[in-house]
Amino acid sequence: MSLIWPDSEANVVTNQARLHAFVIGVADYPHLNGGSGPMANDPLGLTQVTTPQHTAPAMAEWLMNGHSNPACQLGSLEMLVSPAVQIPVPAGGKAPADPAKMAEIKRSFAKWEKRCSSHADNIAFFYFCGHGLNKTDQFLLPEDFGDPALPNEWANCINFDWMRVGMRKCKAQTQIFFVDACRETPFGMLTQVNVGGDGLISASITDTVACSAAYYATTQGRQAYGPDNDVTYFGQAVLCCLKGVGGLKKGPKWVVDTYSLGNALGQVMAQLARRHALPLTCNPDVGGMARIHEPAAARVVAAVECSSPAANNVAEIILSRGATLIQSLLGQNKPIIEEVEAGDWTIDVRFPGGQYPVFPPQQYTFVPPVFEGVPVP
Amino acid sequence: MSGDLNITFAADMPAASVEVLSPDLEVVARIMLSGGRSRTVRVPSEASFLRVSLPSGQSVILKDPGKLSRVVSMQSIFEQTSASSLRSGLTAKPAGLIPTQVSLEDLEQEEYARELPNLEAVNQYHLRRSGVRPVTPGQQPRVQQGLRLSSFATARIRSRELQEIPGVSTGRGREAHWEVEGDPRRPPLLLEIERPQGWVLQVRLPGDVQRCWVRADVLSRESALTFSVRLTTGEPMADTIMNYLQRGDLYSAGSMADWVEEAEAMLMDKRQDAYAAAVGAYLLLRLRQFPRLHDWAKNLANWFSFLPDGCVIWAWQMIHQKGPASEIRKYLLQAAARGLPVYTEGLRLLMDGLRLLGPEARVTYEGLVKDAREITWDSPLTASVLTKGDYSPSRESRPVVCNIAFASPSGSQPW
Repeated sequence: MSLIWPDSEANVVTNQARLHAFVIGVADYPHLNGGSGPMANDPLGLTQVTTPQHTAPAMAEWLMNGHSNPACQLGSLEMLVSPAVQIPVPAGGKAPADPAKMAEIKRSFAKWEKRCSSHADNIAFFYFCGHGLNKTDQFLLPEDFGDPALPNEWANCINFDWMRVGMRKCKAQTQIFFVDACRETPFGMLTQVNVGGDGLISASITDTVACSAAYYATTQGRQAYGPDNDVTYFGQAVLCCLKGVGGLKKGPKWVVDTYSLGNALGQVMAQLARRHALPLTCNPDVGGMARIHEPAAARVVAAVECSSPAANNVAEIILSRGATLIQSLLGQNKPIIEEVEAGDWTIDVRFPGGQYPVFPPQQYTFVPPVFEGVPVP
Repeated sequence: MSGDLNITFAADMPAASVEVLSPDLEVVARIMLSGGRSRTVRVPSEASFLRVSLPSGQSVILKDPGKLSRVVSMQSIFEQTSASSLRSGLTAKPAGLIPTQVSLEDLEQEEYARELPNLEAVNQYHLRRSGVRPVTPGQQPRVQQGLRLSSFATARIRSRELQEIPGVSTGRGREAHWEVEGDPRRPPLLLEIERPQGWVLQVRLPGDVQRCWVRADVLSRESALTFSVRLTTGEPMADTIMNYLQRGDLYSAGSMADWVEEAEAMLMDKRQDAYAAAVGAYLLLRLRQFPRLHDWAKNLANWFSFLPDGCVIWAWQMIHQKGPASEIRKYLLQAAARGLPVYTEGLRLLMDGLRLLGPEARVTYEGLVKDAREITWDSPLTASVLTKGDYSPSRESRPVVCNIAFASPSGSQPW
């Protein structure tokens, strides 16, 4: 089963604007190193990953329970995950997601694109988490990539750049893509001349789209990709931004749109890079502005530390807002990098050992997406 | 209480996007200001405050409740952000906001030569480093060709005619620095960073580049070798827009759309800064403001044969405006024939355009893919990695990170 929500195709709303999502997570690669199947002729140095089986369900959970856009509510969630997982659905119980093999991806893509094309005001939402390769074009690898039984070892591979361009044919005038995958070019790939991949859809020069936004994780290496058995760093950043860190106040509402998301993602990834000491970045490619989500409240990633490691080592940093208290006491990690409510906060930096002079607590306004400070001492 | 808030940028301010926020955090207005300019904005409350998005990527909140006339200077930003430290009598962290005014010779000091620990430090370093004073005529330091970046690589800048532009080795051999006589009517230049292992990074530089510097660091915290490149051109506003676009900060970039009309004028008059005009056009394409492009993208395509970007922009304007397919095809193929675009934005659009042309452009597309090799997509300038001989990434002891950006321009005052 690939349609996770609603429970049947007949219940998919197609006569009103809706967000139709297609989420793919691939953690099981039988033909790559450490896999259970016959090894690819050249596994390109790629091994098994654990993050996609956590990232894809986390994205699904947000789409089904967190997404809010009165003008374009969730219309459907198409999902493929390898290895297979059970996805909890809002009505209770769980829906099984089919494995993310190339044939299933093609079938699901066709159904998803058809739903998206049902209304010009629809939002097409695509999220891929798994292995990716880059040789000018961005390739996304399904579960059965590298199957040695096939004469063309690139047959089971998605060419994302061709897919995104091909989606201009789709009638949905807002198209949002997340590529939560590596962009590395293994040596084996450099030496191959017939590197290909299936674009899944094609468009012509006369096809246009009002808003096409792609957000890429530009991580290099497995470590930078995500913590084992958890959501990828990019996935964490996307969810954090969608839940309010990417919010802008427009009238009485907080809004995450394609522009604010691009700006916030880069800043949040920079803070994750600080926290995890990894070269994490994000590469937004946004053309056109469209509203994605209306979070209930704004959130901010607050990053607070002293200006020198010496001061950090002897400091206590306390962030407070009403009854909320976030602190990093002596010997605890600095900087404090926490997602918090937007608004006025008090920052108190103390030096219990008296190494630095007493410093009175200060008030700061935390505005999305990121607050960075405080330069003391 | 509502009122008119007057915001003035002091002469030391670079061009930057300013958001005016109400006390409940609503964005009341988003404007662009540059040194010496001012704007008045209607605000719902005297407690409204400013957020300045500096070209470096840092944003600073400036509050001054009750005051409806605000003068923003780099010094005031510095003081505001470090006010608490100043009050406590401590030496404030420079906060990395203000470029340090140094000479090229000063870059031989330890602080410039030592290894930087992480990407954040690299970006902070380049921000301070952007304040290097121009070389005084007649005091030109000894220039060299093929400049070493420690033991990691050799860097050089070449013209289209393969003539090498001499530069200066700084940072005790860790950095290479070039002062270039930027000419907006000159074809693009090529920066090459070549490692002995057979790995070469090629970065296209706009012909109006005035200064470029490159350094190599092994980032201890991130276990990566990084080559960081910064440049300034003759049009700081274009540099700022490219920085915003590179970071995906389209709201800030969008506040500069008015400047694009100046770029259009620039294109029409004798200065003819094709590079700045191309940056402005890319911005309008991103913002989907096609009518504002009029037909000057066509002039950009036809007048500057050395610039593939002009053809790409004009073709894409026609795609969006449903222009004749034959013209679109003509200009896309012409762009590809001119070589790789200077800006990554152009390369991305060119490749997408050729994809849309389908089988008829297959050969051209494949040729472009072959020329482009391995692209660094998060660079604002087209940057590709070529490998030679028996180079193998599996023999790399650490990942290689290419960090390319326009330097943050300072304001009208010399640093």
